[in-house]
Amino acid sequence: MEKNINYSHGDFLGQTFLDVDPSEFSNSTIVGSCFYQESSWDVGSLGDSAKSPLVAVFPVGVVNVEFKRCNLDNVIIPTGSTVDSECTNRKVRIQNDNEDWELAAIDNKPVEPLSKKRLIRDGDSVDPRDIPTTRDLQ
Amino acid sequence: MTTSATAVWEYRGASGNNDQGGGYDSGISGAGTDYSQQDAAQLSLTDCATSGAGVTTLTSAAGGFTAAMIGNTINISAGTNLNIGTYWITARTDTNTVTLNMAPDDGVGGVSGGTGKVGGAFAYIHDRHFDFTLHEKVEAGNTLWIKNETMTLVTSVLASKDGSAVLPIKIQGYNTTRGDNPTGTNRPLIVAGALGFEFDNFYDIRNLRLTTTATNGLKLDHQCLAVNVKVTQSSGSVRSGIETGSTYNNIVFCEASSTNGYAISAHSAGGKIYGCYAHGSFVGIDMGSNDALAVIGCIADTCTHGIRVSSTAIAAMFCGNTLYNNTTGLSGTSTGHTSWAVIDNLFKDNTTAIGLAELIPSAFLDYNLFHGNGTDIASGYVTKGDNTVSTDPVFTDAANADFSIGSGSGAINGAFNFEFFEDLAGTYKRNIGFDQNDPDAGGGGATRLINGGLIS
Repeated sequence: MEKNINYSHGDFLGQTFLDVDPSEFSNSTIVGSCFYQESSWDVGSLGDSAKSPLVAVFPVGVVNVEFKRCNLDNVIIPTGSTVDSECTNRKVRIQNDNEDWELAAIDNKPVEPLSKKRLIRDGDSVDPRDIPTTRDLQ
Repeated sequence: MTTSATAVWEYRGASGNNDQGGGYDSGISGAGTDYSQQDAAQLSLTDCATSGAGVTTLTSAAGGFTAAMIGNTINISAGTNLNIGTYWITARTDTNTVTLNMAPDDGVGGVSGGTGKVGGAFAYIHDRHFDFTLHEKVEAGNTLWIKNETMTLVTSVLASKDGSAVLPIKIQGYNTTRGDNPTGTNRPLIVAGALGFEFDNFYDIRNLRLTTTATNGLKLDHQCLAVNVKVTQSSGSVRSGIETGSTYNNIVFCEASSTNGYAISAHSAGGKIYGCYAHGSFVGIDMGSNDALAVIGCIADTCTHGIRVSSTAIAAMFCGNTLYNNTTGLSGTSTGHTSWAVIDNLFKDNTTAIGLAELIPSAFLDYNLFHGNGTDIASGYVTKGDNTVSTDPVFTDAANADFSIGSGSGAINGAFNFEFFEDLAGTYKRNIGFDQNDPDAGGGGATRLINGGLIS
């Protein structure tokens, strides 16, 4: 498929394109762009109330997009589209410890912090059971 | 041999690829052409092989190896019995045979069916490039050159490999030619999303732009230097743009904003912030350590706290800064401070110019300009000196971050005579605030960019 020049190698952090004509995306290859959608701390979305952080970024009707090397965290992938092994497409939400945690696909509970390596180095727990029950800002 | 100090690495966010060679070392005997400085690989093979475990001779029936490839890396990304990674070509026998710096196998047997590429730039910085448990690691003294393209991160990068005092690891952005020291949008853009950078010890990072929502957008641990780096932190949570984690880091000519957090957060002893522009943040520059802090020649613009001292600060120095349109210009939210020097700062249009938690018994506060503030010094916890200036600094266009001052400015020649200071125009006036003397400005002159154009 043809490389999508308008949406490749772009910084689309936090942006959505719901009002854009689907034809701008459909049947194209998007390379090296960031569409990440931050899911801010929200007490109503944690613990037993854990909710999905996924956001519809692309308009209804987009089909057959090939994503390569893109940051698609918290992004709903359009129907019939593919994501290559260099993309990241996780559920992520800020927890009470002010860290970004990857969430389980099914129940949206925190599984592993994105900064796992740093936290281990610093002697901090990476066990989701150790996340404070109330918000802990520095 | 492992990677040597003379190695360089090339990153091109849009046109590179992480399965390409990416590296070149002129220090390897017989080193030829630097093929890392091109978009595509110079040679691509699918039949790389070695004759057994521990063998450093790499062969390919298809071939294509040349003497000019000595000193380049071959990135072997797939194959049987392979230890995936980049290897240095140290010698060439013929078109079908080269010698590598180390055996590329996994210890089980010889490599077969290996996919290898010589030359071509990497696309993005990956955490494993700094992983000291892997053989493809960056080493002290290496330079990572990043071309002015958009690089999207797909992993957080904790660069656990250390440089050294004499061999720092350099991360250097460039526009079209290595070393051209770009400014503004000619600097490469790294788009990180929830991912960020943390560099351990002895890193020298220059000429980059970074957008992020990560906990620490750009974190410097120990004896690191950041120059001409712009970090835009847009998290909805309290997070840092640039942060120092350990001791003795310098942040120079950088720009940062953090919508709900700290544009620049220096939470380590001996932190120095020079010539930086912090704006649109909860805290512009946060000094969270208690020893030998210095903020010199910076601008804090439209923050809740322009410069904030959030822990007990001993021997802090705030000199030549411009604090404009902040809720509190210079803010001390903790107690126990002593031995402060507050000299040549320009406080303009802040709700409170200086707001402290308690009286500082030992502070030198003089040669500062206060104008248009709701309150100059809250509660009288420090006292203005005899050489305080109170006339309008007459910024050229502060709303658009042009803090140059015109010929009628009260800041001109009002500063303490440090002798060695000079202004950008070379006229050796001693001006208060960040030194952007522009005699032609004051309403109609040519625009002078912050830090002589380093920041945009």
